[in-house]
Amino acid sequence: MRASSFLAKLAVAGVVIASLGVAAGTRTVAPTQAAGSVSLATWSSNPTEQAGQKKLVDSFQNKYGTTIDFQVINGDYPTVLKARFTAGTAPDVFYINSDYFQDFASSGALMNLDFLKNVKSFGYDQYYKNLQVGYIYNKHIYGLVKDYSTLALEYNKTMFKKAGIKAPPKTWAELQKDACKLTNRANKVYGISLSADPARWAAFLIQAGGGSTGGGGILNKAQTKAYIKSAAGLAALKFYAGLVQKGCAARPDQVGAGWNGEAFGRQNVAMAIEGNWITSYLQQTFPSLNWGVAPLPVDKKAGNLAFTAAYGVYARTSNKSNAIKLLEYLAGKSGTTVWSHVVGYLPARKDVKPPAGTKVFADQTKYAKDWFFPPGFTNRALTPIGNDIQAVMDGKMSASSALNDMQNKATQALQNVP
Amino acid sequence: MAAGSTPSQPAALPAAAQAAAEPLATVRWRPERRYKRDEMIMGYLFVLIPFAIFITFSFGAMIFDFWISFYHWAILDSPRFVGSANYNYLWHIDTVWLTALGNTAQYCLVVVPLQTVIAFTLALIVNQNIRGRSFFRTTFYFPSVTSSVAISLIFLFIFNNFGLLNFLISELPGHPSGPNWLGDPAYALKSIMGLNIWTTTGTLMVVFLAALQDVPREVLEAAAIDGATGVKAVTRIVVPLIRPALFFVVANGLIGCMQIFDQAFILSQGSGGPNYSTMTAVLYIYIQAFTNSYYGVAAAASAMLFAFIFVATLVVRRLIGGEEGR
Repeated sequence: MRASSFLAKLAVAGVVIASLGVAAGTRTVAPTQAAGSVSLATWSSNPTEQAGQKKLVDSFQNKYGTTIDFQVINGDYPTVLKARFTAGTAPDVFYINSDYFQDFASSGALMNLDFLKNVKSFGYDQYYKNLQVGYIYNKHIYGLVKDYSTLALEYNKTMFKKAGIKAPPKTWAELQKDACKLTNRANKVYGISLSADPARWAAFLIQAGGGSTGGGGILNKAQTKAYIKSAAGLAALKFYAGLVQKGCAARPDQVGAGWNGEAFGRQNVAMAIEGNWITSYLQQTFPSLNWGVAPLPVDKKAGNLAFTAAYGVYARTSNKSNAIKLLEYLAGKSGTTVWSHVVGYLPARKDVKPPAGTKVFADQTKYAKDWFFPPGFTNRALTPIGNDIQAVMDGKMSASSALNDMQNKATQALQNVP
Repeated sequence: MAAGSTPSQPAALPAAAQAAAEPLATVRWRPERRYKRDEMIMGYLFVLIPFAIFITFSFGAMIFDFWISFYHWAILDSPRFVGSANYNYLWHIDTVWLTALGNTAQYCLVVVPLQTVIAFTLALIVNQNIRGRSFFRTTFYFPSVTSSVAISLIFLFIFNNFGLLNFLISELPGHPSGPNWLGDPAYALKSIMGLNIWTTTGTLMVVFLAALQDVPREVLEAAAIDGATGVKAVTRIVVPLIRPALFFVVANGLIGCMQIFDQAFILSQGSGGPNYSTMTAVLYIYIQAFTNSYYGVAAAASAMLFAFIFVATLVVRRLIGGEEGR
């Protein structure tokens, strides 16, 4: 009895010590990069983008012989990326978005790319300045813009013909007239889908002559002040929300859609304002739709927004030379050409011709303000601005008080957080 | 017995006499203290690993949370001490936290009573000897078994402005049109309330059912003889008898409701709903931590939420009581 109880105790103690030993011995080992390999991380995307990525990876591997460890991060991309930075398993080269670029750059996770200005073969001066500006932090380059899209007016050609409208609207007045003409509330069809999103409304703010030259047209170049409250802002808000109030336009959720593109594809609306990404979406999901693209309507002047994505390199990568080689290929002339022609996105370099069918989007580049903001601004200012736009659309708030609130929230968000 | 020292003759004699005097029957039980001690050691050894895990990941994480709430930290840099600035930000500068607390409180005050009453009623029904009671039991319990994320996604379609629910409403006589359940700030939180009540009532019903089956028939029969039947029997006799189960349901329901996140996140697509109407406390913490990288602020909000839940549980314990009667 005593012997067996002693053995039992010994067994338990042994299990405990063994498991503690195993736990202490297993450490997270950073994947050792085999000589001649480099890791590239991207967010999850549609089949068209995946085809483009595959082409880029294959051609790089064939040309240089370095293998690429291609990682797709599903889910919350910036959060997963941050977790990998702290765990030591960070990819060498990865996609970044202007939303969290400043967050990463200010914390030292991105490699300083200033040296590329001196690499003649790379051609850094070929980047559109107004697009690349979003990836410069503290006067240093931390990202290379890879593609961009502007906004355009997509219109349903069948519905236009049926309503007898010969050409898409060119001014605000024409837009309002056409939208109201195309609305048929009994059939749950509206003229245009307008989301309560500053990432669409800001274009109207610029067109009305308001805004400034910095982030998204809302901020000044130094990103210290917001320029929302103005006569132009009031006019833009009254027009934009007014279309919904009149019943000639609808928000996507009012027609049961998740975004403007879905409402447009399901033919609940005759027009939508979206970027170049709608092309591949409609080709895959609504291939039989008869639609066309037109420049955004103009008011006092033309105005547009540019949404970009970029490449970044991890600052503390153990694979520096391969990472830079990969970056120079992806963001250089050949990589950008492959990418934009396979996927149909606009190239951010002047020496690459825009692919076929994107002329309308490409022509708007000169009027477009790059959509980028300081960290935290999206949640502290852009979300309340969207709420206010919706409140005006629903008639719950007057345009002038909404404008005041938007200006206040933007100013508060530009001040420092604790 | 003294260990190590050689007993002198006079001391050894009593020990030997003692050993000779005790019969064989007590030889097995002699080291009773040692047996108890061995048992205690075994117990601690078995608990050691789960306890270590709890200390590190639950308790230790909580202590870390309290500590980091006094710092500014964006996870890629090192924490910077800011004192009570995070708490000041939550209470005085950011109005969204107060909105989140208000929404959470409103949500709890509606959902907890409703789901308790409905679960109790369903348990009473299923406890009767009616035909098909196992079918009803399965049907009522079924929603709790499914994943809350999957259910939220399906309800995204049901609550859609042109979705199933509004279609059914429009089929009613008079053809009323249903509201925009998810897009209207006045209805978004109510949609989540309805969704959650439907999901969790099943689990709570099972708890009540188990407690009801412990209520002895004789008590109810004696009460019936004294003239207490129906609602009186239920409220005056059955409810006090199932007090422990009631406490469990209300306390757990309250704790769970104050931490609601999944449904709010999915039905508002991570934004906190039309005009912050579905912003709950945990969703706010999530956004501050993972979207804005303000880990200090998120930790401060977590600490405050912990305090609120703790106090609420103590209040429930006072009102309803646990094992002890009032």
